[in-house]
Formats: sequence, C-alpha cells, structure tokens
Amino acid sequence: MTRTRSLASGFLTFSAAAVLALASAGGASAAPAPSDGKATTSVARVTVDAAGAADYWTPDRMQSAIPGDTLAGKALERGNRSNPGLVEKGKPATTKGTKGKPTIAQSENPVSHIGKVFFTLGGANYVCSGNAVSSKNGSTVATAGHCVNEGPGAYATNFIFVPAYENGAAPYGKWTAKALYAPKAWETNGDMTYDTGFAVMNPLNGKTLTSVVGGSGVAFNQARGLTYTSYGYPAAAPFNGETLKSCTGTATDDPNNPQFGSQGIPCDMTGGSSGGPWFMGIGSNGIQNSINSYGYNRNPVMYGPYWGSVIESTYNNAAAS
Amino acid sequence: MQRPPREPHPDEDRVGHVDLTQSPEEVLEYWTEERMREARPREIHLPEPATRPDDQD
Repeated sequence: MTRTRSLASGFLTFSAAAVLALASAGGASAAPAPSDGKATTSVARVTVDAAGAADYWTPDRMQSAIPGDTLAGKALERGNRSNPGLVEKGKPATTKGTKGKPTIAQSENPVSHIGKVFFTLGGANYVCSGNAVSSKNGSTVATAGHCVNEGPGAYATNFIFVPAYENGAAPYGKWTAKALYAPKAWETNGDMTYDTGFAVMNPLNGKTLTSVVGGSGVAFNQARGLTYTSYGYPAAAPFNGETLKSCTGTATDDPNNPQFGSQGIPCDMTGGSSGGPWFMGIGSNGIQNSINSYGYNRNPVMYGPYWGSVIESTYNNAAAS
Repeated sequence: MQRPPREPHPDEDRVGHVDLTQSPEEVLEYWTEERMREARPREIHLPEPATRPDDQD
C-alpha cells in the first residue's frame, strides 16, 4: 500500500515577546565566566531555545532583517573600543572546518523548458516539477500522474507551469492549463506502473508554450537499463525548492515492487521534484523517457515509470488536443 | 439525418482526461506569492522494504 506524505517544512509564527520570555525562562545570562585565575578574561554567554528561534524566523522576518553591519556601525559610533594594550595574545590555535553531508543531487542553472507546476487537489495547494515537450499543439507539459490526478480520483484544478523558475522568478511567465491527461489505470486505480500525466497549456500573449521555451523530444518503448539525467525542484530538506537540481545514473529495476516495471537511479531529491523529467543520456538536451515518480524511506534512489504504449497513448492524446 | 455512432478511438479506453473550465485570469489570480510559497510538495514515498528474515542477525 502506498502512502502519500508531505515533507514540506512550514515556518510557524512566533512572537518576539515569546522569544524574550523563553530567553528569560531559559536562564539567559551575560555574566563573566568562572574565573580561572586570569583576571582579564571575560566571556559572556546566553542560553537560547533552538526550537523557539527556528519558529521565530518566518520568511517575512528573514526578508526584513537588518544587515548586521548596521549594528557594528552603531557600536563604533558609541566608541566602545578595547584598549589595544589590554588585548591578550596567546598561542596560535586553529579549529578544522566541518563539511556538511553532501547530496547526490547537483545544482543546475535554470533550463527554459523545465519548471515547477502548481495545482490544487482535494482543497490543498501542491507543487511538483514538469517539462515542456515537443507536441503538435506546442503546448504540452509532461509531469507525474500524481501531479495531475489523485490516482485514483479527481483531476487537479488551478494548474500552472512556471518554466525556468528560480527563487520566485518566472522569466517565461506563468502558463495555465486547459486540459489534463493521465492513463485510465492511474485515474481509476492509482496504478504506479502508469504514474505519468500531461497538461495542455493555454497560449500566453498569443504564443504557444514550446514556441517560447522549446520542448524536449519524447521516446517510448525503449531498452531498459539506460543512463538518465533527471531534473526537478526538490523542496523538502535539505533542499528548498527554489533552484533546479539534477541526478545522473544508470537505471536499474525496482527490487521491492518489480510489478511496477519502474526503474531507479541514485538520487536523493525530495518532495517537489515529482514529475521532473528524465532525459536519456547526460544533460537536459536529451529525449525525455520518464519522470520522477517515487522513492523509499531512507533509500536515495528515485524511481520513474517505464514509458510504454499506454503512456505513449496518453501523450499522443494530449499532444494532439 | 442522424449521425452514425462514432467509432471509439482505440486509445479512449486507456486514456483519461479533463477539460478545465477556469479562465487563465482566474487561475493566475489564484496563485498569489503566498500560495505559491506555501504549496506543499506532492510526493509518493513508499514504506521501507521489509527486512527479510535471512538478513536479520
């Protein structure tokens, strides 16, 4: 049985007064450290509540925070300077740097035909990734089935595609959908074998989507075990959904659910990358042959459905509409 | 004259779709910066595969 889970990390609002109250209750202090016999050594310390601080920093507060050098300037104005003669010199000391855990996913510059999709399902607003593909109507976007339809259940509403999204910017505009397509097996059963969907977009400023951003070729019924590069906008930690990421690897069958017929590549992209394109070979100029579909807990492999004849029919219907 | 019944397209029984009736203006108005920022990632995360008895110590 599948389980859908959102990994979105939301910031909770937290008042400044509450932070101050926490600091008091938590034993904030600014007193000299215990004497070790050196009368001139003075160290101040304060204890803060980490959870409270994290909650306090809403996106609005982070955006409006004043640069710290403003405070430094005020300190200089007050003339609070140490007497150089009182600055102690000790033995040279260094502490080695610490590297964060590297991710498999690599950072990428925006690609004109790859973007984020936003939509509403069951009254909630969601975000996925998608890619403009070559089509007769010049307006078709490939994404995941679970990004257009509940699988099984209703289709999405309020569906838009934002190509080349980066940090809130939409350099090619926001394109609205006029129709959504998915395999019947996804629509009626949520069959993971067919987790692919296509959106047909309205023109924007009198132009079709692919005439503006280009469109990737698509391929179906290909050999298994190819090398792919997948792209997406992972939003759950350690990512933030604001920039494009990619993974490259050779596809292998899903050993846990072979009945899906899916293939996986090494990749730790998180929620938000769903629906992002898999291109055959290296880079974003290749032919699209799958999408980011699902993963397993604590297993850095991204799986994508095998694009066979049913998904090909779905594409054909969308591309010709 | 009545039209003869349309031959079903061979793909119709395996492809579903919906035509969206919302106007582009209505949809674009819906997606405020705040809604875009707060949209949740939609993902499918399957449970960890069960450990086989042979793999246990």
